[in-house]
Amino acid sequence: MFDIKKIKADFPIFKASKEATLHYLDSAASSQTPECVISAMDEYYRNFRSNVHRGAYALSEKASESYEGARATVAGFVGANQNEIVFTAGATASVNMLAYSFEQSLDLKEGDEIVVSIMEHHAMLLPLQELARRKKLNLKYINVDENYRLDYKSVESLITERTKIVGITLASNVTGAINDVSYISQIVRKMGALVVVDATAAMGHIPVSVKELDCDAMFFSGHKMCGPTGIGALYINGELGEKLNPSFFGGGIVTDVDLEKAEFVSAPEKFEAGTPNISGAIGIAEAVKYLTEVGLENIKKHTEELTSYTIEKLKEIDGVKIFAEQDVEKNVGIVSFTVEGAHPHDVIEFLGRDNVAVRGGHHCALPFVKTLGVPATVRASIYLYNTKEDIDALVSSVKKAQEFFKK
Amino acid sequence: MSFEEELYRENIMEHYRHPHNRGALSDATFKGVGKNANCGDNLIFSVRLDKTGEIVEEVTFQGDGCAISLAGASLFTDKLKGMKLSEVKLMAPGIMYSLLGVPISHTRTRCALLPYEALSDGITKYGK
Repeated sequence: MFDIKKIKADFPIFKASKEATLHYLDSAASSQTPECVISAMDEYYRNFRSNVHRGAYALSEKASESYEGARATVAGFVGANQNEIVFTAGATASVNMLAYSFEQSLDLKEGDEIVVSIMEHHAMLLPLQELARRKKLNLKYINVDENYRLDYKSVESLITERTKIVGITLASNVTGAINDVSYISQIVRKMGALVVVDATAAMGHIPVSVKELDCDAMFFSGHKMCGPTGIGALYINGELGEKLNPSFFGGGIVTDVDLEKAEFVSAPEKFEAGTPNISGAIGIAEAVKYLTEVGLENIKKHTEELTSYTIEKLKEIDGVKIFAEQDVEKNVGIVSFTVEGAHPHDVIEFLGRDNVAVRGGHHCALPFVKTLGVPATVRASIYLYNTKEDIDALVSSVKKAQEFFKK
Repeated sequence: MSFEEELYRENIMEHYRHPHNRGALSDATFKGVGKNANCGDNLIFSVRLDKTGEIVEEVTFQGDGCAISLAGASLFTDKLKGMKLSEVKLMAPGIMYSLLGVPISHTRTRCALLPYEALSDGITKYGK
């Protein structure tokens, strides 16, 4: 059963803030870390720290086993094979690496197309935008309708035989909307383009399967799913993984090197030059185990109830405009809003004083926030450790802020 | 300390609610733009120099922003009027903190400096 008291006790940060209750509603920026994740990483540093691979001694064996075991755990979590999971520094690193690999390994001609949704986080958008600029490709956008949902009707006509890459986020980090990625993949498949999915905002909130999404590549960060910062995973479909050249070079990725060139090992190792983030991999795998133990369905049900409550309570305040997926079943626990008469930066400063942690700004999705017609929003994001009290604190603080700036 | 005593002091709120020198300037000598990367707010500064080209005769700002950036723009434009351009060029970004006179946290630095950045952009483009 989902016992919120027990869940909360799993996270040391909620014990640390003694003076006032911490109302942490910023998990979409970075979630909190459960004790088990901290312990697993601590264990590595204290008891078996050493480099992975090629060390024929007990410590290195243990480190290698833990690192590869972490890969297997993460692969299992998203329905991938172990050799299809590359550990990276996070979502941003994943897409940058992938974009350079695409540039080297795909036959991209001037006038070919990249299609992305207007909802994309800059982590997806900018590396692809730069790739388009370098290779003179057309960058086209799937827009949103009046409910800020993807305009699925437009997809069929947007994807052409010149489309080579389609980048789509599984969930918006601004409105929380979960997109029907498999519907889009199905259309893209007919045209033969590659589907790249940003699962960062969705991971740890809903079950994700690369098979169901029918994607060629998918990426996410550890720190938004109870894992540590500085680690992420990039899924590259087995066949594509063999086809792509690495775009980040160094130790640990070669079968042979001569004076002019090198031959590379297979995926995933060829995409992991240099000593990897070993403790990070152990940490993200532990987070996966933790989330699995709590149960993604339970987490989703819990955040759904609170998201519903948040929308309901915020709606009661005059002058608050909500930008969120209102069908909470299709929302990963994110509610963006603006307060009439008060700038988001002033609102979040006010909320911060009441120990309500939220984010204000464009959430690294400028084209989308511009589409919403505002310069910035306040964003409350909900996760497994949140309670109604957190939402009540948010609502009461928003009312106070509004009152103050109205004067 | 409460908000009223700290960040949002009465004079800040007064300048925010009723900013001075807000609007366009049709006969500006030069214009500059400041963009806040954290929230997408833009400020445009328009400056008109006098006949000698040495004195700031009129300065206005346009754009939207939070209490800190708008109050800052209001205070800063007041300060600039009548100043010698040579003196304006010597001003460091820290002038914004002095004018606001309230503690600015790390996250609000960009808000506080936005008016200065808009003016600096104009001066750089003017180039004299």
